[in-house]
Amino acid sequence: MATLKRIAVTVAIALAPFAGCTGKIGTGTTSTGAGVGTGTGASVGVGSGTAGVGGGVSGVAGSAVVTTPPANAGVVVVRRLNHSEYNNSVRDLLMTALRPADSFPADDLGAEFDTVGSALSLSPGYVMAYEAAAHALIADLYADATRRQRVVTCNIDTGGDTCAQAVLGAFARRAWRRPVTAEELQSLMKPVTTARAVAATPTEGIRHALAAVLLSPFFIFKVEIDADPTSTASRRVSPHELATRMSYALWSSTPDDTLLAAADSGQLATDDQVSAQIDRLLADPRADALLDEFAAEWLNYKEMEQHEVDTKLFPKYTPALARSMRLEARRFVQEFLRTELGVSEMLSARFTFLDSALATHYGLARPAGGATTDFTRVDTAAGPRAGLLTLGAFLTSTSLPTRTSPVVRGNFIYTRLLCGNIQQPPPDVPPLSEDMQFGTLRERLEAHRNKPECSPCHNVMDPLGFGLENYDAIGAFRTMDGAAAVDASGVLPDGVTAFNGAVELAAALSKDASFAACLTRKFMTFAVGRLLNQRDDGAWVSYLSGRAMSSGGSLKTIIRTVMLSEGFRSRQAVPPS
Amino acid sequence: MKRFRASPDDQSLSRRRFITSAGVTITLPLLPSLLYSRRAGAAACAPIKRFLAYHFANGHHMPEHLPTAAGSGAAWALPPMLTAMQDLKADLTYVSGLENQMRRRETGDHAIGCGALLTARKPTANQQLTSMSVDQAIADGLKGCARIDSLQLGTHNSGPTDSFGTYYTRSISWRAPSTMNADGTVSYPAGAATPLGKEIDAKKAFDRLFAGTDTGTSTVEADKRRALRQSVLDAVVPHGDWLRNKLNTADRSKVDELFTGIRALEQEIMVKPPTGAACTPPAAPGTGLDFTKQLDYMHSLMAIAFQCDITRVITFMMSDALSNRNLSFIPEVAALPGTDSGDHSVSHHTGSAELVARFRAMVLWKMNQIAGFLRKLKMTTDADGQPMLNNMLVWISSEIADGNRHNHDDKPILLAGRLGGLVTPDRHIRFPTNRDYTKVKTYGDFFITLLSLYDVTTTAFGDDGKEAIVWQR
Repeated sequence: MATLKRIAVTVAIALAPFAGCTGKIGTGTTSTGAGVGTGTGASVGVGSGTAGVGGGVSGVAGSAVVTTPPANAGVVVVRRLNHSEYNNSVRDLLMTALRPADSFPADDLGAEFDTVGSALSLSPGYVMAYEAAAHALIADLYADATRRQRVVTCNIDTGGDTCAQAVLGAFARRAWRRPVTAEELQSLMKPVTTARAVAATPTEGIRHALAAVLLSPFFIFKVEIDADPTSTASRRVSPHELATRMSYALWSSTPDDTLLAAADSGQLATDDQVSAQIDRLLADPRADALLDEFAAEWLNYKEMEQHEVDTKLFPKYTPALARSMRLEARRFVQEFLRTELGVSEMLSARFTFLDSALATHYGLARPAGGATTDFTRVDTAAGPRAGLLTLGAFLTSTSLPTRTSPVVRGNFIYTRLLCGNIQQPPPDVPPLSEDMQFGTLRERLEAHRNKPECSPCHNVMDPLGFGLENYDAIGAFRTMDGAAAVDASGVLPDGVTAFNGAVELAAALSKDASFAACLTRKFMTFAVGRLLNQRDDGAWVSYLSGRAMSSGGSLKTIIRTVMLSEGFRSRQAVPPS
Repeated sequence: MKRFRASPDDQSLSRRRFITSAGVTITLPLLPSLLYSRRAGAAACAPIKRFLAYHFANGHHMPEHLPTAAGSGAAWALPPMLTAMQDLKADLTYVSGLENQMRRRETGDHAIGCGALLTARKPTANQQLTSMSVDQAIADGLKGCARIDSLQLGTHNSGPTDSFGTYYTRSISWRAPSTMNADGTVSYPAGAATPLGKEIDAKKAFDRLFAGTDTGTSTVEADKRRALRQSVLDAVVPHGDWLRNKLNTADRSKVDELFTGIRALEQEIMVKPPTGAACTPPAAPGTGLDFTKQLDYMHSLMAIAFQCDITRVITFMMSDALSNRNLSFIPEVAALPGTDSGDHSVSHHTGSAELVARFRAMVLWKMNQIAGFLRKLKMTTDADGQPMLNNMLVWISSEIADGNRHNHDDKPILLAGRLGGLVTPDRHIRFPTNRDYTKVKTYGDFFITLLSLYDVTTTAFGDDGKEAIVWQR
């Protein structure tokens, strides 16, 4: 229902006037930039530059890039495994096909990501689900002799406590992603001794003890322990904590034996060692989690199948088409993980990947050969499509069930792709009945934008959205909107750069460094699991994106640059005062 | 107990009747039955008192949702939007004129209103920082009376919304610090809080309530299973003790949430299932239920969960705050001109006649669903032989007052039930509204009063609850 809700918000934006829109963009932190709160400015957070009205989209490019790494690593609240991380972890630990977390209560989101520790919480109902999942997972393990013997490596009936301790020690080390102390191992023996006391079998004892490993906070949370929790100094996380950060950032799953062994033996310390592990993890199929978690949340295609479309108005829209759109977006981003293409081409690329149904939907010719369900690379140089902005998933998920919403689309481009800041519309808005009873949507919104309380934000958002009016609410190309010809012309928020249609809009935006900086900010938020609103965070984004862009600017370069930095490898226990 | 006596002639809006009496809050602890005495044993659990908070999304159609007159019996009539509840009027109490949050001129209305709905505290953007919700305060008061202290149910979980964090539009129940004072009152300070995520899957909710009752298992076998299940928790509890000393406060409060849940599990394991409960578990739900069927099933499940006395406190969200669910399946909506059927988008009708008609039809449908649920509660016989509605209060409201205006002032509350005679329904109680916030009664004040009905005494609640309200003379 994510999509559903997002629309709900933006409808408010569409219908309610704005006041005090700051139009912040780029690397900015929360409230430090000069010009914030002027009501008209588009200020650049870092470096204090104030771009003034319409300066937003060139924000980062126009300000000085930070060239030395900031001092503070940032404070992260302990993160528990989210749904995907739980499912993937038990898959890798137990080789199970069960996905218990699918029925856990929903994870809350920080920014748009479900990896942010401060937003993730546990209700008693959630803990009950954990308990049920732990028992179900162990029962499932015991249902398959081969899988069971990977975990239960000795004969529990004859092996006594020695066998039980060996099994539990090995399993806990993998599940808790670190070596286990004798005291901890002793605690896990409780079910084993209880089984003896109540005349249950040794197998029942070890089964319950294995369940306890999965109910422990050492499994459920990515625990990071500071020697001095009152210190404000940044410190490197321990090798095992780093291994955990790395595998969950790239795989959304638990470290494998190789990564744990590297941590055990001190081989996760130098840049070269970390870099080699990053490359190894990225080359593993599990790195597809970046497409299904990070990119899917950032670009809003994770819940594509839940997006609501009025099928009376759009009979061609089916669950299968929605799925194809999600897979197209996924495959498109995957191309940037597989190659060293610069991320700016995510906006300007004149190619996409289509199955037969989507090719028909878009009216594009798809090379012959292969199954109709294969996603084949299609050149869009001839067609009116370019990059992320014309993906079906993007165009559809930013539409209302019944029509397009240029405001939603423009807002998404500005805030999610360029990291600009648009305030919510103010409350107690007067009814706009007089606005809404005439003309085309564009005419009504333009009237709306003429209101002084509306214009600061809508002048930024709406033109971006109107550039995409050639695509209807399910992403099909059109030249007419009802009886009226589509007018997809506009000017960027810089007030200068004119464009007509999505391809020109995408080309113009791709020249702006804001997008790469925004992507850097998004990945760092996802990977470290904290909102980037602390003192040095604007500087971190500027520094890291600057470095990544000067080294080729590919998606993998951004990922490596973030993960090799102290912003990823270090932490602070408590906020710097 | 004169506060709760019926006053059938209460028709005017005289200040005397609605005045907040400091005397009430002082005298409350002196009344033995109002002492905070939940741990005194079985007595606190009988007579049965139940509480259900029912939230619906995107506000009311206020021009037709407010009764024109205050008073009781024939003196007040249901407003047009509540026509579906005509046969239930004798069980309803309509409360209007209360302010939910002193916020004015702020953004994020749906999240603020929903976050404050049962806490009466303005949420803290992007932080899980608030105070205990009233349902949880009641659940603490009834702790141990039923297997599950409180149950949170809903129909979906919405995605990112605005600057407040999804937890403020998906959850209305919040656990937060509480302090039992020496004088028997309880304090609910703001602090790190846990949103109680709701169950939206009908089958999972059914399993949690009714599966594993183990009717075919011998006592010995059941005891053995309980001991083993408990041993898993015993194994894990020391991990929390070790961690607690090593973590900073923020991390510790997150890890503590796990152990709060583990304590609830221990309670559930140790409470043996009641024998011979006068209830029949419902059939397990089918799969792939559409919204209407899912809603129907959840309604039945709640009635039966109460009837089996599995819980005393439930919160339910018909849809999440700000939901833009496509409501075109409602025949009355489909029959109208226009195409926009988004729950939220239509609520911003901006006065357009076409959209107002659609919004009206949507709200009427929601009220019709709620009416059906209340009827079900009324027809259900509770464990003590009473009609269930007589043993409970159903508290019904939305995150904002008028869907189009987006306001929080004068947001009505609809109550159903009698709570064992403590509430005399069939009345509209209207508190005077005022732009001067110091002159209005608030949700916080109302919650202090509500808590007193459940024998929980507090002198402050949320941002703005300062004193109990004399609301029935």
